[in-house]
Amino acid sequence: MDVVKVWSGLTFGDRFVPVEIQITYGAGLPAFHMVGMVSESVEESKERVRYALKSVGKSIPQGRVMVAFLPSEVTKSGAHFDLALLHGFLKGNSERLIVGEVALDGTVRATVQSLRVIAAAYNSGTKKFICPRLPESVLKLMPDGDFFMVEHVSQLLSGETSTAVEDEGGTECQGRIGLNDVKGSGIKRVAMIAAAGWHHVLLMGNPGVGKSMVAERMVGIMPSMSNSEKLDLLASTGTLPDHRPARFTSWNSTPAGFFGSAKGTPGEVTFAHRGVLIMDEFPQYRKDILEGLRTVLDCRTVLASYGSQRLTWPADFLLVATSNPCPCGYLGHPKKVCKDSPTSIMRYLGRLSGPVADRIDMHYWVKADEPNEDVKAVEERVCNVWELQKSRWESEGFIHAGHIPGERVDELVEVGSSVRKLLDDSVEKAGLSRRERHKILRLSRTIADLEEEHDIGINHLIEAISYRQVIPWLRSLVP
Amino acid sequence: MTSSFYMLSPDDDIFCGRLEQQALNRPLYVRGSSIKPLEKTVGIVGTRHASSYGLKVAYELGKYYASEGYVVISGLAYGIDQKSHEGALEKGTTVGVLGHGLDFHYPKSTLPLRKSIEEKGFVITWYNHEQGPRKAFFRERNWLIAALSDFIVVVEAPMKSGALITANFALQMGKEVKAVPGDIDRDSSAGSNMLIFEGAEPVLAIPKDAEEQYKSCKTVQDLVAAVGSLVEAGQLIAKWQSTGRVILEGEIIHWV
Amino acid sequence: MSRHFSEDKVASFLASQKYRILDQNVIFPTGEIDIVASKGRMLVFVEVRYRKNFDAAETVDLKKLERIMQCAYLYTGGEGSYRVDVFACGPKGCHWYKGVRLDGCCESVEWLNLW
Repeated sequence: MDVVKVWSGLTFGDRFVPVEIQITYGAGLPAFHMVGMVSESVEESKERVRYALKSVGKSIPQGRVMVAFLPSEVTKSGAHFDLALLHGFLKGNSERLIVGEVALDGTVRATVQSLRVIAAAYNSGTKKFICPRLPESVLKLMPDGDFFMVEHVSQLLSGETSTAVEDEGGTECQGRIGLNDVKGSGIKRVAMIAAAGWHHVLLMGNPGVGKSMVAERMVGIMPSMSNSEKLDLLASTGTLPDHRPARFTSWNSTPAGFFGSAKGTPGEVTFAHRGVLIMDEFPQYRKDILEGLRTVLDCRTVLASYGSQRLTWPADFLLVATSNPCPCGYLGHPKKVCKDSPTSIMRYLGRLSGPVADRIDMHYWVKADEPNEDVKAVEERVCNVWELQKSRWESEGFIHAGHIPGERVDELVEVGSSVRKLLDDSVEKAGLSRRERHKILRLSRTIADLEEEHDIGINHLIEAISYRQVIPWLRSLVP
Repeated sequence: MTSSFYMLSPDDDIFCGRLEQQALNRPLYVRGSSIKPLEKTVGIVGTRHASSYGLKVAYELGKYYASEGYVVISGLAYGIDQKSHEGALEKGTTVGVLGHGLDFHYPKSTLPLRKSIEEKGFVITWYNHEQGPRKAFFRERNWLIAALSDFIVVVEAPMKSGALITANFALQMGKEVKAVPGDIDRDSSAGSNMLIFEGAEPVLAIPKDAEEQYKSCKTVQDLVAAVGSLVEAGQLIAKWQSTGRVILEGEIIHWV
Repeated sequence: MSRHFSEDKVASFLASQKYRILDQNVIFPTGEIDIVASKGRMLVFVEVRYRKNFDAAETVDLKKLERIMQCAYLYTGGEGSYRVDVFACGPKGCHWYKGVRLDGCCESVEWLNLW
């Protein structure tokens, strides 16, 4: 029996799963069967393939066509199997990985899913592809790849390859807004520390002081994305932003939209991978999201189980949360009076001191009338700290101070013995937890690095501690 | 409750001469791990059945006076007494005055508080350790509170109450009495309001923090040295920064 | 009901192949059989389809096959051997699907140029 074999793939979270497609024919009334857990989107490709074949003057061979997708235990979905099927009908076997969606007139298009498959396959060692025309920016990420790009199905027969889609010029620098239009030197410093050491931040303040605006600009002061970071993002989400992603999320998001659904769609946390995830009105978020965020912050990946399937997505984002101090927003305002009852304020603040907020390194109170001094060379200083911390810890498996695992903080963050004793005494006296102490150490390491100082001094520790004391201060304001 | 205690005479150094002045010659029984001379003292008294407002003020006053270096003297009853002890323990030390022997405790609900006072300060009484509580002893205890204190703050007291008795003893001894104004329609603050009417100084505000005290600190190191703890210094910096009173630049503190 | 010319063509073709035409357009409660023929002991139930623009065989779906099978059962009373053939005709000729089963598979397919 003649069996034509071509292969394509699937993404499973950020993992690549090769899919072998076998095509065979049998005697009988005409029929086009697909087996191997094909979902509706793959079933539809029958019709697209039928008409695309017509566009090059061919038709599906007479009789019964049987297509098997292997491994058959994984659900196949997506429109990117069309091109592989067409190749099987028109040319027979192929060694290359084939992805691409085909329109009725025979033009080949790249879907989000096909970009994900190509990137994930490249990451796992596949180098030869037959695919739609890809943008130059995507090809740049995969220098070892051998791409046979087709714009129309007829090229499968003629063997002509198309050129890459040219990038629109000038996108590189667009959208990178630095901190220049942010008012207030304190908040600029906080943004700089957070970006430099990858420390999650909670910005608190009265309404209208510009909390969210700062959050948006944080990506602008980070070094631009490396190729491998871009490829990870492409493999898991199919998007390729020109600069680090800054994802605004809304407090009424659902857990599936936020973390990704086990059916295969990534969530906001993955779209923000190696960028900034902005959670506006942090205490308003659903409890299940806040609870779920806890493990994501710890593991820096999302894990979703769906029946027997377990998916993981990368989710190494910098969390920038913003919050009002109380339901009405005016607690701590220099002039206006907060009208909330003490119990409602305490309940509101209570949401900010839960397990998630515990994992946020810096809290900062944003004021409207802060003195505004220019902080010089922000991007450069952040970049220097990145390189310094990377060279220091890369062999340990992480590159930011914010990523130092709790059990290794004491070992990896060195503090002079006299300063350490002072810190130990103070921490014990104030009854702070170990986690709290680790945060102070990580944060002060980054602050010292920003100041280009080798040893952590008292002033660095004090600054780090002061970024942990906003909520206690707010509590003390409650009547 | 069988740990050791000390028997002191009224002219003992730790009283700094307060009991001698009152011409008295009864021994005192003391228990606690930190028995130090009472240099500056304040008595905070009030009713057991206080409003939530009264309890909060008692706590804040205890905390404030302790942070200013006063030893807070009170009677280890529940209500105002309990809160003022608790507030004081947060920032400093406190002394509980008992109306019975050291082997007893009344009321039961303040027993955990008594344990922590014995750890950080001490409790004191006139009675032999085997002596149980009696009604008449509490009047004598009130006298002792007044005698030990430099001045008395009445937080919330009804017209007929132990707190007013204490205040009267203090006035007889020529000591100052302050009172916290309370609601005019609340029976439990009628006594303290009356004290104000009769000339006691009203407590109009609780000083929030000791900002003035640290204004001379120009660097972070100075502040840490003055405060004595990194975490507390950090707390102060956070508060001052949030209210826009200081700007931190490296290790230099700029006062606005 | 007028009979399509393709059915007559198919009938005469079968006759030329040594088939005996027993009946044409037999109507049953469950449907209609275009041609009933026999060769030896084998009864053959024939469905003829004609489509000008596309492959007529695609119009024979499971439902249609089920109906033919039911008619065949009623005709034979469930006894003797029989098979179902489908002639899918177009303007250029005809596909002869021999021995079609309910799942659409068949024993053989032949291309005939009947007109």
